[in-house]
Amino acid sequence: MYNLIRFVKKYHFILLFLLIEGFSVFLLATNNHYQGNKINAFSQKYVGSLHAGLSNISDFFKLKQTNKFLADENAKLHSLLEKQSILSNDSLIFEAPLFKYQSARVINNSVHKSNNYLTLNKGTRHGIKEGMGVITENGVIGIIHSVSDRFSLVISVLHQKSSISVRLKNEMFLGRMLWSGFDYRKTTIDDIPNHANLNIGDTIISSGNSAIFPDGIIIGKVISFQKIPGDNFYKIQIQFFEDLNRIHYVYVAESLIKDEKELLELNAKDD
Amino acid sequence: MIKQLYKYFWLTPIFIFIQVYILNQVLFNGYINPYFYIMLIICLPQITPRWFLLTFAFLLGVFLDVFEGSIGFHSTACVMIAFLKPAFERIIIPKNTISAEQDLFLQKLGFKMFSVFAFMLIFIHHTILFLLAHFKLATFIDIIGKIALSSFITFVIILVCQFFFFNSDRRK
Repeated sequence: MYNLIRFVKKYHFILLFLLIEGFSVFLLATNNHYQGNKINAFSQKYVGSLHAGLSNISDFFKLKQTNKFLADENAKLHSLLEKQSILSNDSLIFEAPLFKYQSARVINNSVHKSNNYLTLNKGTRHGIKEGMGVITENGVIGIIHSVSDRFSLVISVLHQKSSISVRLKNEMFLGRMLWSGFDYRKTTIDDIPNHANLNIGDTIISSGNSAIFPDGIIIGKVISFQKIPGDNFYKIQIQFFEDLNRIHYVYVAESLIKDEKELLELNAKDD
Repeated sequence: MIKQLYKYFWLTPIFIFIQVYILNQVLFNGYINPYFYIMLIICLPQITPRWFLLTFAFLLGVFLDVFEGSIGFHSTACVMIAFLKPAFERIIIPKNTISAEQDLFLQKLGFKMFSVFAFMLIFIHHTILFLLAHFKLATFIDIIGKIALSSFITFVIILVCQFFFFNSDRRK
């Protein structure tokens, strides 16, 4: 016993190091499961209010930019309204809305990690639920990962695990958007077959297949692509239209058809 | 001995704040990602009890992890450099250069010794951190580039901070 105590005393530094480092690595390894979610929920609840307070300060400096953004948006909506009124004069089209939108402010954002998250200033109190899509005028931002009362956490498209269904604007070929982990202005697209007619500068839009995002939201343009011998798919690199480092206001899209669609597809799977 | 360490307690929130709200917001090209908060670990005096060194490094890492919304990355890297620090002190800093209670600051160690000491620890920290963070998806060259550039910028920021501390000491 005495020897044991002496041993522990003599090597306490290494033993403590092994203990703490082991614990760290354990945290790291369980990062993606239960533990990770719990920590995220904690940091959302307490760190969220701090982020919100500080973003109030930075908001002040962004006023000019925000004004311009809102003016542009207004102009766009006006022109849409005009078009609508011309159309509705000679034909009546009833189409149930597929999505409901609400705006939210980004109070914390990161783009330089390998797994990036955003925090929004709206939560369950405002009707935000897990799995809703987050978009802006110029692109897809991410999917709501978890919500607290007043805040919500978004898995950015700049996340290893995010995989978003996209397609070419002029052809119906579907692909998957996966982030390669470094440059926040670029991302890669898989699964577009190499018989598709692809050119540099082609626009990539969201496909709307998953019912998380509406169909046809512009995402980015093709900056390079290559055919890999022995593989049937292109390797495509695109550049985002949206500067993900500077997003300030976003829209949370709530799908009104998602439940119905998923129920229908679930039935098919059971057979 | 604990008296020497008091200031690290109130410096910790300030460093985390600067790191999370200023340095993490500034991005250069996706490759440069300085983490200057590890200066707190680097500068701890030689007399610091070993258990305190490890625990302090772990808590510092955990705080940063919580603020960044990740978990385990910073604490693993911080604990590793805290473990290596005493060995490096023995190798790099000759005896009687500096009394054991003094913080390992630039003006006390001299530029050459401080640079070697700080840069090695920074480099190890960044290597572990970025390897863990980008292991799966980035190419080897990308990671090496990111480690090298970020270490250098962190080192420069820490040097600038050292001059800041130096001046404040003089005024007293």
